[in-house]
Amino acid sequence: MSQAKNKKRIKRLDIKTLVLGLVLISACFSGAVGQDAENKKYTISGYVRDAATGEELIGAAVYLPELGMGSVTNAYGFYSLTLESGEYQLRFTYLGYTTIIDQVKLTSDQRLDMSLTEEVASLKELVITDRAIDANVTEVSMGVEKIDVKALRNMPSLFGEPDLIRLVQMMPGVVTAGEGTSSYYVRGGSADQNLILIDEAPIYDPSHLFGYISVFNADVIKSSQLFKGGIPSRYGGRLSSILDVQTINGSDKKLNGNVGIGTLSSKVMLQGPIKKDVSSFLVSARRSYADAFLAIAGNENRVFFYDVNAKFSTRIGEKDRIYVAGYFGRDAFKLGGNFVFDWGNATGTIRWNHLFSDKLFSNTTLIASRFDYGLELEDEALGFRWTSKIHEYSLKQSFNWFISPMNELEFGYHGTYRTFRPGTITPNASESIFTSAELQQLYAFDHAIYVGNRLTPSEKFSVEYGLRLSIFQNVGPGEVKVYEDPTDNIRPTVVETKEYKSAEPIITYTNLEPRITLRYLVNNRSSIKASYNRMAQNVHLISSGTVPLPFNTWNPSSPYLKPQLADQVAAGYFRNFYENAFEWSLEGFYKNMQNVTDFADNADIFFNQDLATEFRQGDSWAYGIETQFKKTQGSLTGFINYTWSKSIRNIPGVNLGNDFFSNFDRRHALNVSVAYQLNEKWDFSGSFVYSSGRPITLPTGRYQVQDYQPVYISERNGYKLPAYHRADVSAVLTPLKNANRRAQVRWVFGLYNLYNRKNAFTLFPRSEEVDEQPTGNQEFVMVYLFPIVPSVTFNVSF
Amino acid sequence: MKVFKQILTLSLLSCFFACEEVVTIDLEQTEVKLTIDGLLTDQLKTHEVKLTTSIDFYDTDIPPVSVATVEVVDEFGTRYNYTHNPLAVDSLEGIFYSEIPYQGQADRAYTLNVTYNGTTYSATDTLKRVTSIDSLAIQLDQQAVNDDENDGMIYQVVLFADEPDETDDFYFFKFYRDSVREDSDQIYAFDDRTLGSSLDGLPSPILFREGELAGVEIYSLTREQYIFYVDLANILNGDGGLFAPPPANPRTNISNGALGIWQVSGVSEGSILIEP
Repeated sequence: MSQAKNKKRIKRLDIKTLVLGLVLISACFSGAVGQDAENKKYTISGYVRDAATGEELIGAAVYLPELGMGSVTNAYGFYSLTLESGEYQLRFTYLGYTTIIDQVKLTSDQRLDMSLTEEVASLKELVITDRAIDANVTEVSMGVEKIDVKALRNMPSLFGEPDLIRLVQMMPGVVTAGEGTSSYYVRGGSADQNLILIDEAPIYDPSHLFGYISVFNADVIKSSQLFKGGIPSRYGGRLSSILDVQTINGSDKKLNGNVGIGTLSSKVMLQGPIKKDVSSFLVSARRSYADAFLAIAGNENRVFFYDVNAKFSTRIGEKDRIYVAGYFGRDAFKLGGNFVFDWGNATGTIRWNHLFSDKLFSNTTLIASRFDYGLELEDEALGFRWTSKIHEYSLKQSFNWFISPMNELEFGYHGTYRTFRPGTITPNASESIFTSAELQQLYAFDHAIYVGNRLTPSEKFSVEYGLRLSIFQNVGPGEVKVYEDPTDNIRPTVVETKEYKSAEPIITYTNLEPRITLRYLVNNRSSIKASYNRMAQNVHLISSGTVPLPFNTWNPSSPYLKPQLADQVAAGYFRNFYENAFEWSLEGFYKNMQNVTDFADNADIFFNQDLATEFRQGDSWAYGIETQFKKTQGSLTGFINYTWSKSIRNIPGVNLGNDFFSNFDRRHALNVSVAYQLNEKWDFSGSFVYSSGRPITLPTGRYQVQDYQPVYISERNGYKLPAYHRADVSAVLTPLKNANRRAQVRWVFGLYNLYNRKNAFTLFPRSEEVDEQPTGNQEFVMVYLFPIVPSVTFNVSF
Repeated sequence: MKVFKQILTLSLLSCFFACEEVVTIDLEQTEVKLTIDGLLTDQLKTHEVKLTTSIDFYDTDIPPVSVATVEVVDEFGTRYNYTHNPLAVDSLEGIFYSEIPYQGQADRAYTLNVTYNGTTYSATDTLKRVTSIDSLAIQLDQQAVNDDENDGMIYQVVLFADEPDETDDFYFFKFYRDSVREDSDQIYAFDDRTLGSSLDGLPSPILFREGELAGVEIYSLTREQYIFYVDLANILNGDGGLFAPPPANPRTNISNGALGIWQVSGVSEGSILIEP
């Protein structure tokens, strides 16, 4: 016993030593570099901004051609380069912006803020290719997709609503569950293994209208990145991906706005300075109006959603910057006159940037996030309201230490407190047969410390490595039932109930997550990259469906839910052609996951006091090859993404313990998107998506009990739906008269599902009926959703 | 609650653009499984066990099993033998009858043994006490009254019965219109916890006309039997499992992979003539 304790202690010490060691290694490295330099070193640092709006640019490259290296701006647009004194050429580049080359004489520490002007896309003029545009090849990161928001606005979309998640779903390595869902599956991981962040705050359910569109309003997105592999140590908490969305801060130069009128919803956005060049605001709101149409049509169903983004940011002197951001969105449905469903996310973040020195950048973030839903039946006798909530409060402290252009260090702490209210049921009519009841609330602390280091010892070789230590605690107050057999979900037998006081740890899980990405530059057109990362996840989605509904609860890791773990290795080849006009990448991955959370066959997860007996955890593994071919410049742009992948699960207690395909296993996924600028007036876009059908559990037989004729299931996910494919087109009209107008007008015309393909949404058996009389036979019914859907969106910006 | 989820998914689909199409799927042949449909109650009578086998999805006729050994043994070792269709009536093929009439006793465990093709399938369950119906009443269903096409079906039967608070009880309801079972393809099974431990004022899901004789039967279930019906309801109402869990075979109290259920129930009944 004591020996075991000792062991634990030693292990803990090891972790500390490791983290410390990492910091030391990189510090030594900088020392070593510093020692052989005779000349004194100076730092040049500053922000890279958009000239028109003052918006900081994230990931802009600051490149030193003489040294063949450089840096990129961090998530707040800040860069810092420490160099020997001398004269340098600095190139500031950002995709879609005109490059600025600046000559700097470095004889003292210098602040250099740079404003880049957005490129006016004009025809025929071939854009001069910049060194930074070869980022595909030169960047260390792999498995990262930058989601091009600008392209999104011209792309064809359902109901003309440009949607970030739709574009995410087209990325290599990503598959979807089907049409009309906002869930996506990255490299063989389930939908709840994706962390979705808006201004650093987590979004627990990204769907509006049950997933037909997502919560992200394209108008306010500044940048978005999807990390599928090689995930930096600053991110953690989910196994498969991180979608990091940052919103616009609002222009600090001049007031401007945007009004969009679409088929599904309308939106307004207003941004501008509060004090010029110092502080700014942004407010954006969106609301659907399907309910108005339904009311006119005399339909009693009510369907609507709305969302609001608001932001305030200000600079305090040269060294400090504060951002306050909020998101609030809600969906509400009333169907059949008495069923009410509603759900929504609310997030708020306060961020404080501080420069401790021109080399040490600090960011402190306070985050609050809430997700809740309600289901209600309005009825005299059977009326009830059911609600479920999750709250999250976080503190993040991160540091970027720009030691030198070849050595950058980041480290920090991320602490989170979560409360889970899985379900409360209250009668909503005095005569209701229901009584008030609540499932036990659950609480958890999550601490993570991380350190990451990017080293570029030579122009050819670059490495980014890091370590994240996650300490998770499921805490009281509460009671934990000890079951005779924790998997007996028919007659759960409690042998003991343990009581825990407030904040008293129930169980602690410690995980060490190493991450590393290597890049070797073969020549200036091609590189080879490899990565390994381990991820741990301590929140579990309680959903046994193929697609998560907004009506799903989450649980923390607990005595009955172990942390989910993933180890992923990936390797890839990156190549650019024709002066970087074309980018090509090929990546292969293998991901091994432990303790993936699944549920027993026939699990009752809706209001179950013994939910723990329905949990089944097991193994999952996925592998695949993905390739991307992209053209980002010229009048014809677009991408071709293809993924071949396989995702398998083995969960004791599910499918008789046999291997089965994950719900989202799709062998082939092909996504093509093309945009063509015909002239200054017309832009055309088209896209094509193809994917193998998703697995489905179908009956192979049937039998009879009393007057019931149930079907017989022989295997989980043993069949596949037909392949899914669809083409969409859109045309964007920018009237030439705009040049003389104060307000800029834009029309987007779209056609969704161009060739009217009947894509199977799902398939289910039912009794065959002729003239409403059952024949005693069974048949399969395929459900398909959208036929060809036209859309028109009208936008005015000023 | 499950029903609620189903309504949710169905309305969700229909409220948008969902269209349906019947398709034919190339399915593998399924193995043939024995299905046992046995019921023992606390009523003194000849009890029945029906045996059939499963068929492929697209096949039409469920074949009865006539050659098998069927017996019921109570926890004290009393044995009741069953005989297949003793009067050799065609429509009763597959039904095994107890050789003598007998009566299940409350709180006693009964084991069903079926030997078919050399394999023995067993199920043991306990007969749970059932609450008796205190009274039945009639009330107008306002929604039906307002419906122009109600066809005179505007009356609900309201049930009053004592329900012990301290025990976790499960009930299955059967409704009769002029002594003919109504909605025999519907499952009306309840857990007393969701009913707030009271059966008072529970309205019938079935509507009646003036002059009809409304009948109600309450069957007590064990937790195992109740779970079978809940699972059965799920698979019968399956909608493809995109939002709902993937369909799965109901959990049963029968061993060795046989399908069906061995139901042992106490029964109480009541009836009322519908007159305003």
